[in-house]
Amino acid sequence: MVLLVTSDNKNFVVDREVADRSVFVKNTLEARGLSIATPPMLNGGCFELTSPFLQVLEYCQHHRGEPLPTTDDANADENRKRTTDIGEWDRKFITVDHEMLFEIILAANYLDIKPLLDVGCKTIGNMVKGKSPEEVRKLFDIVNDFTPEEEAQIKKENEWAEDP
Amino acid sequence: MFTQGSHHRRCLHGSGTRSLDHGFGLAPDVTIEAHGELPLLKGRGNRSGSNKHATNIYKVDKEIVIRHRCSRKFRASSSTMSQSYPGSELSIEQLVFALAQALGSDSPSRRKLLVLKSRKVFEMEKDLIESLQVFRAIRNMHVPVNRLPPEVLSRVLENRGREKDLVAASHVCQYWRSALISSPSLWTCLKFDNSRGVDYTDAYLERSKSATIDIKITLGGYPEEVQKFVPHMSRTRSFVISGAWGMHVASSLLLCNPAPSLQHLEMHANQGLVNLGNFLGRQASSLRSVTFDGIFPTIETPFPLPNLTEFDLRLLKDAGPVPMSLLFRLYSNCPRLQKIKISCSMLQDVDQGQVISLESVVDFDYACHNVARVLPFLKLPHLKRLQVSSPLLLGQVYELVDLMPHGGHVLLSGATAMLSFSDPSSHTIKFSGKDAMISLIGVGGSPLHWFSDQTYIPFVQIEGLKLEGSYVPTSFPINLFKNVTKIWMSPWSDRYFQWVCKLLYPHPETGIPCPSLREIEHRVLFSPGHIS
Repeated sequence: MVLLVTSDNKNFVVDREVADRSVFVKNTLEARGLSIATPPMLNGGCFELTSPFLQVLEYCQHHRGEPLPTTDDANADENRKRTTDIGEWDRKFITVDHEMLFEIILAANYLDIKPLLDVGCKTIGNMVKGKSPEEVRKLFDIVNDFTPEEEAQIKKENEWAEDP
Repeated sequence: MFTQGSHHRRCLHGSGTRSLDHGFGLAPDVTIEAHGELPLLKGRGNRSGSNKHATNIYKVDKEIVIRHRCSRKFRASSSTMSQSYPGSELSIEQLVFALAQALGSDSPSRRKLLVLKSRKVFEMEKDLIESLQVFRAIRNMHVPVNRLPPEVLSRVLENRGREKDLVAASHVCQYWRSALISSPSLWTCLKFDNSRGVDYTDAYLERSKSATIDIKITLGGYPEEVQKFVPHMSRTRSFVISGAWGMHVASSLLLCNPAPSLQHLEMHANQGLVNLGNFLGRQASSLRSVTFDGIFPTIETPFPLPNLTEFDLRLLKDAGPVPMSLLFRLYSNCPRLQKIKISCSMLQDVDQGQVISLESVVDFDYACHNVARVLPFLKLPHLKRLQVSSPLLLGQVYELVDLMPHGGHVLLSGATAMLSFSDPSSHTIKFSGKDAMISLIGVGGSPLHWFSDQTYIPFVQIEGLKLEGSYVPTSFPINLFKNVTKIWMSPWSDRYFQWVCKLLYPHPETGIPCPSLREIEHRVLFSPGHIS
């Protein structure tokens, strides 16, 4: 068993097999020979883990025992990213509001859980697929902040993406 | 006159007063205060509407266009925004009102005032536009999706396959644009044709930095821009070229420039024999797969392609005859060649008596007219998949062994499933098992003619039998399918059914029906039926 402590001092006791889904936690534990992992400070501030961490733990519980992606297999990484399909369970798992989705992705990125990061990135990728910049802005509450010069460049670039 | 319809606005909700500091490029004497709702300006669509409206009011001088934009800004500003400029005693509203009055007057002094004050207005507008743009950028930094770091954002767009999505995403906002443009892996797939200008090529080559690139060129002419690829051939991983000028471009790019990273080469043209010099061997030694469609590379000296695993050759009649010996010579210099595909109507026969052995080939796809005069002279000891497709000569009866590579009939020994498919123009017989699959396609007739000798066909081993199409292979001895467990049928004729039903009736010798048959799935046209 491993004790994981989040930056806001919440304790989570999980199986080592579950904790090892995170390459960050796995490496930390292996390097220090510890059974307690605490997140380091990021840019002088705490990385708030508690809320998305519960979700991440649920993901790790579900996928425990599955083979971990190896860092030296670039082709496997490429193939995993290339596939746009998301498994049934993962799809239901990642069906959350935008805010939580981004939190989960941030947590997956921070904790180095590549399969979860891929699920999150693919989900966003599927959201923006086929959408115009204006539609993407509307989706994510972004406003157009380009300068007139940038707008002119963008107008030219639009010709590149014309469908044959 | 200076009010703006609410449908033209998009409001930011905030409270109190917010000042932007100078760290974002604001002019030092500019402050923006937003009280309550801060209206944001809309894009081009609304601007044109405003312009029309303004044109009706102001018809003065050549600066009218700028003034139009100016008036739009003030409509947005007047209700909720105030700006103070050092040295300006008028509020924006007062200033604009004065200008409007001056426009309607013939007085020279008023005209002078107009010029003087309008200059101030334009300065204010410029600053306002810049300030709003900065404000929007700062606001965007705080939307949840933009908390994702650049590398994650670029991962979202990686391998999405659609250039349109990538370009659209790079036009969402400054943060997205910066994150995506600075990610070289997103810009490695260049699709160049005559309609894409030099800007496209420059942008992709620059954004991909030193990453390996995949180039796809489709040409109807020979634009000079193609030469831009020359310095980048050394980092090209995949090169696909097609079009009437394809070979000229390919020659200029490939023959003179080493491409040590090139793994995939695909050339589509209608040129017949083409001299590629020593490019393939010396300058592209990393090649893993090649496709020559409409051309055949002649070689000056034998060249080794140690990493080549796939070779696809497609030649039509106009390409002229290709000597089989040349092809075999090419294959024999590829020690790791696993997959061969030949579709060629003008392949010359093999020299009789010569047997070529290709030890590493596991997948062989042969679609040529002279099957019987080529395949028996090929030895493919590790073959796992064979597909032979050939036009049948009317009335000609072949031996099975003549239609397979040397010793290839042993592949049939492990077959446990058989498929017969026919349509008006061809007939396919496919055998598959755990270790191998063989497809025989007779174009214009039935490959059943190939089986004058049925010795090698493992009827007894077949467990699954699938019958599709209009033709019934009734010449097959149905009673030999002793171990078949399931039959799928989707014939266009009831004759199939009658033939298969023989399995349900007592065998003439044993007196019992086919003992292992459990299920017949019968689909007629589009109405599924089921008999079990």
